Amino acid sequence: VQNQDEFGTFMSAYQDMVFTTAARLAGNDAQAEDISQEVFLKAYENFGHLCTSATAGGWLKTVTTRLTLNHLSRYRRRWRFFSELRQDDSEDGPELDFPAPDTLIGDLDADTRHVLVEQALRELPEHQRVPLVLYHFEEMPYLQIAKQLGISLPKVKTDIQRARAALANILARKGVLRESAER
Amino acid sequence: MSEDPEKLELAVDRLLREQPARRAPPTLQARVLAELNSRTVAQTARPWWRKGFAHWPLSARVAFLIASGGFVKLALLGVMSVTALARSDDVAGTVTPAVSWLHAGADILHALASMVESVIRAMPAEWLYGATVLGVGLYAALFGLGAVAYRTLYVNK
Repeated sequence: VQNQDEFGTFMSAYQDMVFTTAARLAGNDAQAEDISQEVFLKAYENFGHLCTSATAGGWLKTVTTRLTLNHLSRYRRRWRFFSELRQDDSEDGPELDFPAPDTLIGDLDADTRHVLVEQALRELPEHQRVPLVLYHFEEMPYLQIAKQLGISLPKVKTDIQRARAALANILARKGVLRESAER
Repeated sequence: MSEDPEKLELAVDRLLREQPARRAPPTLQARVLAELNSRTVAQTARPWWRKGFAHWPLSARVAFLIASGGFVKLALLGVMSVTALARSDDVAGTVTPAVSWLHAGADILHALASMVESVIRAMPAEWLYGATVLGVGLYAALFGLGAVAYRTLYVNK
C-alpha cells in the first residue's frame, strides 16, 4: 500500500506530461487516457528503479511515444508501404504566404490561443500530425522519425512541411495567425 | 505551400513550443490505482502452483527438483534399455522385415524422381521458360490484387 502511495505521488508528477504526449500524437483524448494508463502500469512494474531515477521523465516519454505509435499502427491506417503511393493532400487547403515570425501571432489571449492550437493539431490528418508532433514537441530528428514510422526520409520532410502549412491555414481561419497582407 | 518554408517552420515551432502541457483527466490516477489493486488482489488470490516458481513454498520447490531429477534418471535408463534391446539378436530378427519395407519405399521414390527428371529433360526449354514466366506473372497479379484490396477495403475505409 505504501508503494502505491509513493506511486500516486510519482503519477501526479508525470501524468500531465504523459497524457499530453499521448493526446497530441493520437489526436483523441479517450485513447490518450487508455494509453496513459498502460504507460503507468508499465512504470509500476519498473517502479523499483524509476522512483529514484533522474531519467524517469525521459523513460515515460519514450514509452508513451512507442505505445501511442503502436496503438496507431494497430487500429488505424498506416502510411507505410501502400500508403506511400497515396498522394492525397487535398485536406491541406489553400496555400498561404506568411509575414515575419515575430508578427505572426494574432491578438488573442494566451489561454484561448493554446486551446485553439490544440484543436488545430487534432484537425490535422494523422499522417501529418504524427511527424509534426514528433519533430516540434518531441524534438526528434527527421531520420529517427522516418525509422519510427517506417517511412522514407523525403516523405517525412514533405509530410512535416505540409503539416505546417495545413496547421497555419487552420490557425489563420481561427484568427491565431495573421495572413500576409501581400497575398 | 508558403513561399518561405523556413519562416513558416520558425513560426510554427515558436507557436508549438509555447504550448503548455495539458491537464491529465482527473480519472486517470484513480483508474491506474484501481487496476493495480485488482491485479494485486488477483495475484494474491491465485493458488501457489499457478504462480511463478520463485513464489512456490520451499517444500514444493525441493519436491519438484527431486521429482525432476528422478524423471531425468528414468528417461536415461529407458534410453539405455532400448539401446541394449535393439542390439540383441532376437530384436534384429523382428526389425529386419520392417526395414525392408522402408527400402522398398525409398526405391519407389527414387523411381518417381527419375521419371520426373526424364520428363523435364524431354520437354522443350521454351515450355519451361513459359511456365516460369506464367508463375511469376500470376504471383505479381496476386500481389497487385492484394495491394488493391488492402487500399480499397482497409486503408481508405
